Amino acid sequence: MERVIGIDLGTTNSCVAIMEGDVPAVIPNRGGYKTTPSMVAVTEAGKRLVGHIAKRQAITNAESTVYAAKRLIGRKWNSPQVKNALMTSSYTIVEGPHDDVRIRLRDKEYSVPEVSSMILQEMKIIAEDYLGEPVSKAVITVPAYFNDNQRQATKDAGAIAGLDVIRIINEPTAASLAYGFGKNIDKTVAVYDLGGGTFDVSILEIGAHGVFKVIATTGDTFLGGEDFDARIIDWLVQGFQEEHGIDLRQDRMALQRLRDAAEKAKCELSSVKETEINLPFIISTGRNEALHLQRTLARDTLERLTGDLVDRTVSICREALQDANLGTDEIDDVILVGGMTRMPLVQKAVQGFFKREPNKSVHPDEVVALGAAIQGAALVDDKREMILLDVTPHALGIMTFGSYFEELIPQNTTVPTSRTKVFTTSRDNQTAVKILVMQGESKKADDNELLGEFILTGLRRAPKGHVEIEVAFEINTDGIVSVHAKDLETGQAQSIQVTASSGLTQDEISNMIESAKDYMVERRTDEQFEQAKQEAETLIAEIERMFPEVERIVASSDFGRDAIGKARSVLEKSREAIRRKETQAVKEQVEGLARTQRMFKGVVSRAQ
Amino acid sequence: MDIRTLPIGPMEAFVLSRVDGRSSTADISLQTGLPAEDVHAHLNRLAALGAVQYGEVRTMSEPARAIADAAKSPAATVLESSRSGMHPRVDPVIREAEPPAPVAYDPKELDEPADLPPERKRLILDTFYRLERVSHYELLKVPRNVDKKAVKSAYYEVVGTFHPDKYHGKQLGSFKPKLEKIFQRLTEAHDTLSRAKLREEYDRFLESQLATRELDAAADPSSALPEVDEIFREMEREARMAADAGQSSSPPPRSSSPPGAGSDRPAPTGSHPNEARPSGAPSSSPPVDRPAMTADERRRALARKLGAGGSMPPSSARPQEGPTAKEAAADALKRRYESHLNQARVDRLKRYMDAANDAIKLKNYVAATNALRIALSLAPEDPELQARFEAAEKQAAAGLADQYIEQAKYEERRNEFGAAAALYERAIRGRPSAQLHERTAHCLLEGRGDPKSASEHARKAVEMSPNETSYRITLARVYARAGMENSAIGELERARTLDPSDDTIKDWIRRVKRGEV
Repeated sequence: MERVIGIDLGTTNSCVAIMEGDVPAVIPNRGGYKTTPSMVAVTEAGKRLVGHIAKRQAITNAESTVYAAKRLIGRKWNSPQVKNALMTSSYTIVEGPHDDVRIRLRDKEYSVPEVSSMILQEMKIIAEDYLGEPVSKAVITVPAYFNDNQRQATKDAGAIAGLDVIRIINEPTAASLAYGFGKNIDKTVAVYDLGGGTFDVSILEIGAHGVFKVIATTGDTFLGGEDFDARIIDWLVQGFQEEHGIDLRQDRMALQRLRDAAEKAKCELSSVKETEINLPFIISTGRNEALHLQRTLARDTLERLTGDLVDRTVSICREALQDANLGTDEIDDVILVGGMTRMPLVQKAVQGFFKREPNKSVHPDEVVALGAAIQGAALVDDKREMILLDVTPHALGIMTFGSYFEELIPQNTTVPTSRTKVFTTSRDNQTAVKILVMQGESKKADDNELLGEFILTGLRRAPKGHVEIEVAFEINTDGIVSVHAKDLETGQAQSIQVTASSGLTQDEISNMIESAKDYMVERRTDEQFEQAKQEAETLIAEIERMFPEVERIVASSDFGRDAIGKARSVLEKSREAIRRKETQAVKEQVEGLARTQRMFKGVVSRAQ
Repeated sequence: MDIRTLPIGPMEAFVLSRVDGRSSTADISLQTGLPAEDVHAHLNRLAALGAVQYGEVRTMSEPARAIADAAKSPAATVLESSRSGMHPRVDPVIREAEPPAPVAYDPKELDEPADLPPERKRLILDTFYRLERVSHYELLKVPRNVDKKAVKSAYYEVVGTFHPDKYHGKQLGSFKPKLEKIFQRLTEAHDTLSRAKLREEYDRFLESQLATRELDAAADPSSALPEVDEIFREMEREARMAADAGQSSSPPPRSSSPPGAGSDRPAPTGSHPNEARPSGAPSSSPPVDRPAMTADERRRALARKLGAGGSMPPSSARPQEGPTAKEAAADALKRRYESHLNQARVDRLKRYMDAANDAIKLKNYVAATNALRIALSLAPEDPELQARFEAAEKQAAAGLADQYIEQAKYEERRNEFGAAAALYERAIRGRPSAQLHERTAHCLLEGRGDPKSASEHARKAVEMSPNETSYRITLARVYARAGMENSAIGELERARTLDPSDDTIKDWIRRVKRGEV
């Protein structure tokens, strides 16, 4: 049975896990870290960097380093969220061909799923290195409040990374799986998931036969740790402006340094009462005079700066309970997920609202990936008794005349689910009917997310109202929407044209999969080269160290002079091969270098 | 059981002799040369006496049966109805919501290739084809007084079996959408029964359904009243016994004499069901529908036998036969039989009419409707009786209007517009109002029902409440749907005159003008 990895594709950090027998385990990356920064960069030399290595060079390469791509995935160019990101991002966001978003790195534009696929690919490699076997199947998590476009785009990212995404699951649900899996409990739990960029609350029932049933889920896809950081940055920028009259936002490198410092200070303030923010040489004035930023941030100040954000999460919790038709006294346990839940103010607010101490048994950064791994294993192995019953976070409907939203499937309906509706033609001889499918909670269609236009074509020419088409709207277990149509008269399935309003076409995805494969080959070659180069350079250094001594010892003999000449030639060839980045040639030279080194060692030891 | 003690005639004995546990009604009809209809009648009588049992169509699996929770076998149903005595049962007998019998489906569906074991396929099909007919309680196999916790346990118990995830990566073919439908319905049952408010609504719906069930059956001409079948059997039995008594030594009425009759051949009894079963109905029709004749057909059959209530001479239905002594005797027997039958009919007609009058006096209109419906099946062409039946039904419906409205609202909430419209129409029969007419029109519109009926209801609503703008909008929508834009606009303009501030009216006018309805 092929193993399935679970990937928590986070806004700031990502995590990969796998089922080891009956226990899910997080796979550490090569640096030994259990989470990997969700950052991607392209260097001046055109090299692609992902994870920690991308994060380390972010300050010097701010314009070509992407962070928090998750906030943009599946978003439309014109959405307020993208407009907001445009203002605050240090990388360049441009408009794509489908009213979507592209990110410019060096001279190339990347779609957001493509950027996310680089992170997913990294997680795939981490798992493959650990398992020592190829991995192709994955369960990827998304915030529960993601809409269809965002889910679809995440699935596309998986495909580009060469992964068969067997399921998209919601992050809070995944957390509850990790919490309740194999425990045989009967509880109603609330999951409070405040991540880097999104906030979700889910209310679940965990019962016999491994049933996990979500009752209600709600959230905000633009509320997370990044917003807390932004408040600190604002505070720093404003203070600096008052002191020096300089707007640090205008300098991308300074902004990136501020971002790093803000995140660091925020994390520190979870354990200490105050922290020093020190950014020397943050910017230089017109007179080439360097300015430094130095401020002390107290926990109280942070709490004052971000109190309204925490309040927002609490009112979303209240909404979730209302939707679930439950009181706080009916919640048996509260699970905290996401790094932000380490913040004392958050813990205090959660405890205050639910009137109970939150559960501390799960690791807030790892629990989501663990849950994804559990779901993956349960899907491919039907002997595992576990069934996840999730809900759709948004109502599904169609736009009717006057820009009204007609709801077909209400919010918090257990998936999979479907609903059929009969449409008739409204004009004589009409041969096509256009249906606008939307997701959202507002009665006004404009406030909701347009998922796509479905055009039923090839209808029989007839007087108006005489052609009836039954359209089935479905939400599958991934939370992804599909639409099928049937001509009621002929019983024939109708062709449906889907005009994606955002996201990628199938062709684009195929092309991206191809170039991602190229990158994989390139990356593998790079790794081999790096390895060979390192070996060669170690040997070269060793040989060069011994060189003067050996030269002195063997100077008298012809054989010695010959050997020295050969050694010189080997060194030169090796350096040349390294310079040309020819992996195979370097590997070959390593053998010659090793022989030379052995010979040199022999000469030196005999002479002593 | 000793066959000789049975109060049966030679025909029944003959038919009984052909019952072998395998032959269907059609087979027996072929073997005996008797019309299938007669074989049916004889078998029904034999079944009523407990001499034979109808076999089941074997499509029901054990697990499904467990879900069906002791669905009554058809034989048991027959036996139960035979218990009704000589007195007409006209009181509204509210039968306990008995779990519906298994629904048959084409067994070929089991042959569809899918990565599923056969018993799982059977379970899926058995459950799927029952979905429409079971209540949430029956579906989850829980009693009516179940608590929330037990609802959840029952749901958790079965939900895994019907969730598509349990079959991830498997080829399921048409079983997949069926699984999803079952899952959806199980979840609806769970969600409804585990939330106090929804459950209360649902219980009210079920109760109102129970309250109107008797009337629904009595008023719906397409539904078979179990009593009617029984009455006909009784009448035939009486007539035959009376005819036989008049000429005890007469030869059997038909030319083919029953060789098995009167012999000591052990009678198949209920205690040997497997041997006794004439595994009757063809597999494609559900066993519960076994008395395949509708009341209407019954009526026609009777009319044929009785010469349509006496309007035709009794002899006209008789084939021309040669004047041999044997045939003449058979002819005489038959005439006697028919005259007795007619007498039995007249007796019963009177009895049911009396029962109806008594019920009306007691203001029990449902019972009256029931009695009149039976009377009507005894005298199908009587216009006065028809009128009385309709009047009683109207009265009964008036008494139950609230229940119908309750059910209609429930169906409407579930977007079951067809069902909702039918229930609103029932409520209107008893208690017409503008609002009910409008609701009916609205539901017909939403459910793409009959446009003519929709427009009648919408017009009626406007006629009854000319100042209600929303009724006019509904009428306009009905017009627009029927392609009558000008009428629609006219109606909307009138609505606008009534309430110039209502923006939705303007929206509708624009919408109709653009042809977007």
